[in-house]
Order: sequence, then structure tokens, then C-alpha cells
Amino acid sequence: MYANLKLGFRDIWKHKFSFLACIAFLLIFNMIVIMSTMTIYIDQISKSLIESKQVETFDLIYTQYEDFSYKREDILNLARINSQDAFTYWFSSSLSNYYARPIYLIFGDGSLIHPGIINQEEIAVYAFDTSNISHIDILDVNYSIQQIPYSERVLYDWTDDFQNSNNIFVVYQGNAMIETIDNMAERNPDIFYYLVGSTWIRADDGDRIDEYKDYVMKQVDGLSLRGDFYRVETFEPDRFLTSYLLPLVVFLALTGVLSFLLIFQGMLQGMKRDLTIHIQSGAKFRDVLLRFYVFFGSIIVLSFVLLYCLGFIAFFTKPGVYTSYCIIAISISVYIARALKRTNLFDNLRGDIL
Amino acid sequence: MKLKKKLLISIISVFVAVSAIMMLSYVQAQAIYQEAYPFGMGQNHIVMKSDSKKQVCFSDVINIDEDIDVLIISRDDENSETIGVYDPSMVMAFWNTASGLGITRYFSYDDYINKTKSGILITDNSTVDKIAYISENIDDLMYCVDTQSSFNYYGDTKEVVNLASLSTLGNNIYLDYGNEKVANNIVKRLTNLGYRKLSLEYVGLLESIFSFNHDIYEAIMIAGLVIYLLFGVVAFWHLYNNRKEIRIHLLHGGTLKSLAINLWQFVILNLIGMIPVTIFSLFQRKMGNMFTSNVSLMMFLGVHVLITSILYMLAFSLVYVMSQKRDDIYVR
Repeated sequence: MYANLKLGFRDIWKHKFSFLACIAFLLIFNMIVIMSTMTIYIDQISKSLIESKQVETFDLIYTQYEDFSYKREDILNLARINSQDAFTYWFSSSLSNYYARPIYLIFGDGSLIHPGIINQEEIAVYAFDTSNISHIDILDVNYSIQQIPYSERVLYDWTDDFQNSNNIFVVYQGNAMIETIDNMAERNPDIFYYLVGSTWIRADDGDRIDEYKDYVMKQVDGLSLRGDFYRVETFEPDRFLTSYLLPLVVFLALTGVLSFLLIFQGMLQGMKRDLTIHIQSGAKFRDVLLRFYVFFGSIIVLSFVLLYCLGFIAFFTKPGVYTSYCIIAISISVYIARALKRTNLFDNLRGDIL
Repeated sequence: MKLKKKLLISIISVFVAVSAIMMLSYVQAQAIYQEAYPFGMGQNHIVMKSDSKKQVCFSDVINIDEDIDVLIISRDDENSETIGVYDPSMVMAFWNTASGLGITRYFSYDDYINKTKSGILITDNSTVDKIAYISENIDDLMYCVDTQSSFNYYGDTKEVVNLASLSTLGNNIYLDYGNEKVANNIVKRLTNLGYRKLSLEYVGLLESIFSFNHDIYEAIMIAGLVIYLLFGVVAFWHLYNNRKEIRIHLLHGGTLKSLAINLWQFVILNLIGMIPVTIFSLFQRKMGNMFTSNVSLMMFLGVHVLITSILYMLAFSLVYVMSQKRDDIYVR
């Protein structure tokens, strides 16, 4: 056993140039496999980002300093957009201060925040079941609070505005929404503009998004939406991966396979005499096999260790590297075993190398 | 040696050539793209340049009512401190700054119509008096951005002004768009007025390899040239596997000269093998992954044939010397 290991390491020294060339090639090959894995990983992330997008928000640009005024018709139009699949919100600092907990005024369809919020006419007040409050006074009217389960709230990646467990949502819809916005914005038209800007619309309701954009650009003065020439609507796989990286991996793999076959064949032929004497002196098949496994195993292990030390193996490149090394290791070991069995060394006991 | 046996090493040479040209073309593409996105524009962007001293004004080029969904930035020459911006889609608005209702604003439709002298100041000084600021090109300072802003792509820009307020357009026009038809119209008008479209600046294959400011991926791709080392080793083993034939040849009175026909056969097979490599390279160029010019490609193929042939020759002489020396290689 140890003698075989020693012989294996002696083989490495004997074929040191082939050994080094193989390690260098394996390193490069796996680095390119890593690049492909990273590209696939990034693709997956962008795919999940695009496909999981539930809500569209907007970036408002002011194009004037003053003269912010609005007509009642503008509020009616905003109310029409918010009638379903959309809402705008206002953080009420006076109410929040009074009740010492965040209170949001939601104008429109609150089901985007929590599926328990029913899109119905007039005013309704909701709180998470984690808060213990049952009644609230708003403008001297007492409302009873409906509980909604905290665990079922909708999570959004980009904001945690509605995640506080103490939140209270005052949801307005229909006429109540129109009157309340009118009341709030009457003294301070800025509020109306703020409300227009903080609109959320369900991402799959394309018509409503278009209607909203049209409304902002054409009907409201002094406001515009930030455009983006490269807005991605649907996911497309990376063309660079399929047209460049994967073909490169294939070509390198073909080079590697053919090279391995030639090198192994040459080594086997060169060592035939050696091996035959070895067998004559009582070595078994597995002893011969071990010598070759030591040689090619060292190549694989050493290149892997180098790759690891160079810091190329991160959590998202692991699948690619491990798969590639598994395939290489298994196919090489199976091939060597088969090839050694077929090259019947016992037939060759004369000791020549023919 | 039979031709069939040499076919294998030629096929390996073809794979080596394809892998090497692909890896090198990656390095070249990176070098070409490195400086290619002015003002943070995307990959659609067009750069146009005018060499004539012809005066071109805003209304000659842009129809405010129709040309929306584009971004146009005009810059006079290499060291001008003012750029003109026409941005009806608000793509560049309010990056690297804060906005506030009633305090800041961005270029509006009316600005382009009335040619108002509104503008943005690029400064890291946060104490600029926004209301009092007046300069030659700016009457109304809309907001300030810091010097990291993408407006300051060339590093020496001080003022960003309404393109319509400038009397003439600059010599350099940078255009990005969401609507190709509109962009094509503008490009057509600019071409008629003496501008020409600049293509990406070509960086040669050798130049990009020897530029020595590679990132990790380019370094990997260049390190991929060790594949030639592998080829040398493989060529040795390939000939070693056939050393009996060389030995037989020698035993029957052959000389190195008469063996050299093997080398020529390899070189010719190698040259024939470069045809599929060329076809594949042209295909890659069509796919947009490769920018190598024909001359560079031919040079690469030539160098490849040269290197592989030399390696093959070295391996051959090594095996030749071995089979000459060793007495125990005998033929029964």
C-alpha cells in the first residue's frame, strides 16, 4: 500500500512536466467553469427580481418651483386610478404623535399592503394583531379597528415602511378618499403632489400603470416621471453565456479529454515494462491501479486546493466547481480502471515494451 | 507514421486554437468596451462628431414636440466646462443630489420651448447660494450635483445647461434613446449638418493583451494561454506513443531528413485545420463576442501554426534523440 503510494509519487517526479501542464490546464478550465457559474447565478438573481416584482413605484421629478395647484378633477382622476390595484399613502405625523405609533393614511386599494385589507367604499381602520388597540378617534369620529394577521403581511424588498408591527392603516376608498384628499390638500397643495408621487400600482396591471403615467405627464402641471431607456420588462437569458462561455467550456473540455487520453496512453506504454516487473513480483491489479490514481488524483486535488487558496470558490460558484470536479474525478477513475483491465499486462511477461 | 494518427494531434491543435482565440478576444472586447459608456449611457448610445466649423442650432436638429424618449448631450471640445443637455425623458434628473418640492427642479418642456437659461452646477462645495448664482449660461440654477455625477464623465465639466439655450450645438453629440425611430431621425438630421457617427475605438489584439491593467477575468483568459504548454506535452506523448515507428525507420537506415516529412504533414494538416477556426471566429464576430480584425485574426492563426509546429518539432526531436540513444528499444 505505502510502497504503491511511494511509486505513485515517483511517477509524478518522473513526469513532472506533464503533471504541471495538467494542473495549469485544470486550473484554467475550472476558472472558466466558475465564470459560467457566476453568470448563471447572476442570471437567476435578475430573473427572480424581474419575475417577483409585484408593485410598481415611481420616481417623480418636479419641473417647476411653485404654482402648485390642482383642480378637483385631478383628485377625481387620481381616485379613479386608485379604485383598484393601486393606492397612495400619507404618513400622518399628527396622528402618529398622538397615538405614539405609526399611522398611515392609505388612499385606495390596501390589499397591496396586506391581503386582509378589503377594498371597500368609505373608511376602515386596520392594525396588525400584534398591537393591542381596538378603537381610534380620527377627527372626532370613533372607528373600531379590524385586526389583520402580522404574519401574512406582504414583504417588499426595497422598503420597510409598512413592516412595523405597531402600524395602523386608515384606509379610504371612493367618496371618502376624494373628500379627505381635498380636505388635506386644500390648505397645502404640496400634499396633493406628494400623494401623486407616492402611488403604488400592482405590477401586472399594465393598463393602470399606463393610465397613471399619462395622468402625471399630461394632466398634472410641474410634474414628470423619471424615464429609463433600459427598463427590463421580461427576463432574457444572458446571450454571452450561451454564445461565448459555454462553447469555450466545451472546447476546453474537448482539448482536455483528448490530451488526457494521449497522456495516459503514453504513460501506460512507457511504464509497461515497469508494471510488468511489478506484477511479476506479486503486485495485484489494485496495486497498479493505485499508482495511477495517485498520479491523476494528485493533479485533481492539487488544482482544487490551488483554486480554493486563490479564493475562487464562493458559495455561488460551488455548484459549478463541485460538479465539474466530480465529473472529472469519476470519469478519469472509471476510465483508468477500464483501460488497465483491457491492457492485459499479464500477457506481457517477457518484459519488453512492445 | 500514418496520416490517420497525425489527424488526432491536428484536431487537438484546432481545439487549442479555438479556445485561445476565444479567450484572447474576451480580453480585446473588454479593452474596447472599457471607456465606451459616456455619461453613464447604455449600450444603445451613439456618439457623433462634427469636424466642420458649421454653426448648427438646436431647432435644426430637435423637434421638441416629436423628439421625446431621447437624451442628447452636447459638448464642445476636449476641455469645455459646459455641456448642453436635452432630456425630455428625465433620465439624468436628480442623481447625486437631493430634491425638494419648491426648492429644486429639472428641465421642463417649457424650458426647451422658451430657451430659458436654466442649469445645474457641478460642485463639491455645498455652500453655493442657489438663488443668487448667475453665470454666463445660467440665470436659474436648478440644483447642484457633486463631481461624482455622471454629468461629469469627462472630469472637467462645471455647468450643465439647457441645450436649447445655447446658440450652437457642440462638436460632440452623445445620444441615447428608448425609441429607435426618433433617434434615427436625429442622427439623419445631424448627418446632413456635417456630423459623422463615431464607432467604438478599436484596440488591437496585441495592444489589449499587453496593456497590463487587466481585471481578474482578463488575467484568467490570458493565463489560459498555458493551453499551449499542454499542447507541447501532448505532442510529446503523441510521438512517444509512436516511437516504435521512428525506431523502425532508423533501423532501416532512415535519417532525420527523411523523417522530416512527418513534420511537413503536420504543418499542412495544421494549416487546413485553421479553416474551421476561421469560420468559427467569423461566426463569433457575427454574434458580437469578437472584435478581432481580419489582419489580427490572420496574425493569430499564423502565430498559432508557428507555435504548435515548433512545439511539435521540439517534441519530435526529443523522441528522436530518445529512440536513437536507447538500445533497449528494439524491434522483435
